[in-house]
Amino acid sequence: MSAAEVSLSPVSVKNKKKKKTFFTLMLRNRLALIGLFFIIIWTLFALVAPFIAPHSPTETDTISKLQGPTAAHWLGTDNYGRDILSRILYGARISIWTGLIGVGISFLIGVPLGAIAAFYGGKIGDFIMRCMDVLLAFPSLILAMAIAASLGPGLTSAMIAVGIVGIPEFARLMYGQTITLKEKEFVEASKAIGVKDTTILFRHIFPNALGPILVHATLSMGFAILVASSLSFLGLGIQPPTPEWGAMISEGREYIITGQWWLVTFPGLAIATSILGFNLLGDGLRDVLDPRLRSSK
Amino acid sequence: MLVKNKWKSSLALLLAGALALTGCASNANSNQSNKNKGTSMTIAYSDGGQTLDPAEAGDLTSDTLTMNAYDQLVTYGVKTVDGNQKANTEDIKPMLAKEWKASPDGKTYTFTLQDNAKFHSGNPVNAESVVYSMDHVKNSQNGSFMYKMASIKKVTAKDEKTVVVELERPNHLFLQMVAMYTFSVIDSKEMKGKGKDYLKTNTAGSGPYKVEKWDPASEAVLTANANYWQGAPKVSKVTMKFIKEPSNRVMLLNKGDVDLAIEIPPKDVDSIKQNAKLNVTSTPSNRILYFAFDQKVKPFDNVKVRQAINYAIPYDQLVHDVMYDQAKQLKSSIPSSMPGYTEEGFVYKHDLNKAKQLLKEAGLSNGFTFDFTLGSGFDDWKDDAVLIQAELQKIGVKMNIKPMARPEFLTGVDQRTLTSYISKWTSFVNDPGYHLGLLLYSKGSSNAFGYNNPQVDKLWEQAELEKDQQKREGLYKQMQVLINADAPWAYLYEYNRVIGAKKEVKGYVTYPDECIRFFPLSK
Repeated sequence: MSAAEVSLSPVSVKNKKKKKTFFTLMLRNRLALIGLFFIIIWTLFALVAPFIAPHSPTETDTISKLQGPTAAHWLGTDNYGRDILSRILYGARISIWTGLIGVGISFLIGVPLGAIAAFYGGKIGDFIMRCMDVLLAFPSLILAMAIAASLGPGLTSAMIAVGIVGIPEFARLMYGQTITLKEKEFVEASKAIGVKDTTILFRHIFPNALGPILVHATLSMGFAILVASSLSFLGLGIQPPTPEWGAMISEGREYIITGQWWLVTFPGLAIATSILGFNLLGDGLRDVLDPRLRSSK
Repeated sequence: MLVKNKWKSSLALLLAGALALTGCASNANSNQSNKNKGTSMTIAYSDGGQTLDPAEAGDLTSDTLTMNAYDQLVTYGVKTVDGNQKANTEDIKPMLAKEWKASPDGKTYTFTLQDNAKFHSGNPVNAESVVYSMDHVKNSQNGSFMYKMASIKKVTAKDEKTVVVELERPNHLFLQMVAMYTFSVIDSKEMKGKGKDYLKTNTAGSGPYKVEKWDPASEAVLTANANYWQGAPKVSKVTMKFIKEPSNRVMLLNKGDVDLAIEIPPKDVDSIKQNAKLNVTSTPSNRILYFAFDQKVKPFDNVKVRQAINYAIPYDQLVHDVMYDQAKQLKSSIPSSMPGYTEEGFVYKHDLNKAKQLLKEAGLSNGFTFDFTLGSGFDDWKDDAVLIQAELQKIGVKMNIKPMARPEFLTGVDQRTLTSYISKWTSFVNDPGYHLGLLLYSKGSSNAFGYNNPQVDKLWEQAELEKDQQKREGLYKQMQVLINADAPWAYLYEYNRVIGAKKEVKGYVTYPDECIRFFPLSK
């Protein structure tokens, strides 16, 4: 038996065990399952919106404006007579898409930045991390507003704003992970045998840091949807008549005092459940993926 | 350890201080409300204003603040229409000038000032102040245009109480313009040694109220000028609360926290009417709303395209569903309350087939796409835009709505960078010469859409020199017919000015400049 075999076999056994426990632990975590359920529901709605929406989301019909929930309009109509249910279903597409793109931007920029800063350290590392600190110094919504305002209102600028706001969190998380990982024996061993830096980062550090990053990405989805909705609420998001949840609430808020509660309640519930979904799933993933939390339970 | 103790003690001090302060504040409040009971008034406004300088003011709050802190040489008379008091701008009444005389050629006006009028500082209102004020308007950024519009050539002080104003040419609007807040009379003695910027945040007037506090983010407090030359105002303290959200203004009014609220959203009018303690005054105003296109940009350079859009506007929906009938369809380039108004030549109605046909004639049977800029701040604009967008879609025209913050929007309109937009216009002088001269005369300063019809220009210039009111109105009618055919805008509606107030509030008068004069108010 060579030394290599000895060191390899326990790892593969451990991996199998980990895989099994991951699913059993996830299945046992009821809250995470509820979260997953919400996410699946909203994703499904987003995918099949054109087939299941009873009306066009943008068609106005002022004769039937401001109607409460009825058989024809399950969730009522807004001040232009548009069907709120259809708008919410189509809105799911926009919210989830914005979330995915936004988190994607944060992930693709933040993770490499954090990894490079930690791996190389020194002046580059300091420079990158101080830049991240500068970004973090602004309250995220204010920063998102500033970015969205300077890019001009629109869905694309909202996505970019959401993405940029999320970068420092990803960078710091990856920085912390890389700092610990780069001291580990397997990284030092790879260095010693002359493996290229990029290979070490991609093949060894990144896969091992993936757990916490994944948890953060899931939690960020909820946050991204919220920020995007907030931007729309403030008039910096999408353009009318695009059905977006935040914009729907913004339009409907003037009607709360006159008693047309359905204009804001249903989009509000949509935002709440989708964010709740991502947060619950994120928390569940953290419980399962973080060994420290698991052992303390 | 020492540091920690210090921290603790300073925290304790801070807490004690805060407690004492809140205690004091609530006491002070209750004292004040007892003392001023019945004589103080709170009014909800939407914006906080930009300046206190009468020559630079250009938004409703700034205008109102200056209007109440200053007096002008003359003012408008008041008439009663349908039980509501309304300014009659053609009827000029004395204010700081007790009398005036126009020379036979109409080029020289001689004003005699009131004997007893004093500024807030105690200085008497004299001819020198009037000269100073006119100079101030001439050299200002916003007011200088009005100065030109009034065709003032020279202002001289003949003696302590006599001012002579020479005009470039006879101007039938001169007195109406001098009654505006822009031409407020400033205390020149008080201004000695103070820079021009002093007036931005301070007042030096003779008006019925003194601005005691002005914080654009929260409120302005005006206290009565007890020595006002027309007698002390009945309300001793007016607080203008700046509340952006219309629904909040409505809520405060319904709860009785404010005595009067302006800019009531049309949809809330019925709910306020149901409140037995409140009155709603909804009066037609000079404020019009139009959909403008830049006529230098394709395809809006084609009159057929502009006419097609005019046929695609859902006029009834806008008035009924957006404005809840607190507006009326605009059928000419001037508001219907202006002398010389005519609907002649206004042929447009909601007719999508006709619109399609016109597009076909313009060679655009497949429609086109254009950018529309939506300025923020007015809910009805957005509603109009969305409804118009839906109609245009039906004739194959795609309208991209681009929302923009109000300051940016105003700059865009000024610099003529916007392809199309909705905008409002209020003519403070109720005269088509003023209105059309600014908006649709090719050299008009607010003609931001490049409308240029030499025939219209010629008629306008001719009317400017015409002394006979009847003949002048005839010329303005001809202009309107030509403009209607050219369709430089799509006319949307004329606003009602909607004000909600407690039943006991009396003395409210509607003015074309929309400023509330606090002096006649009482409760």
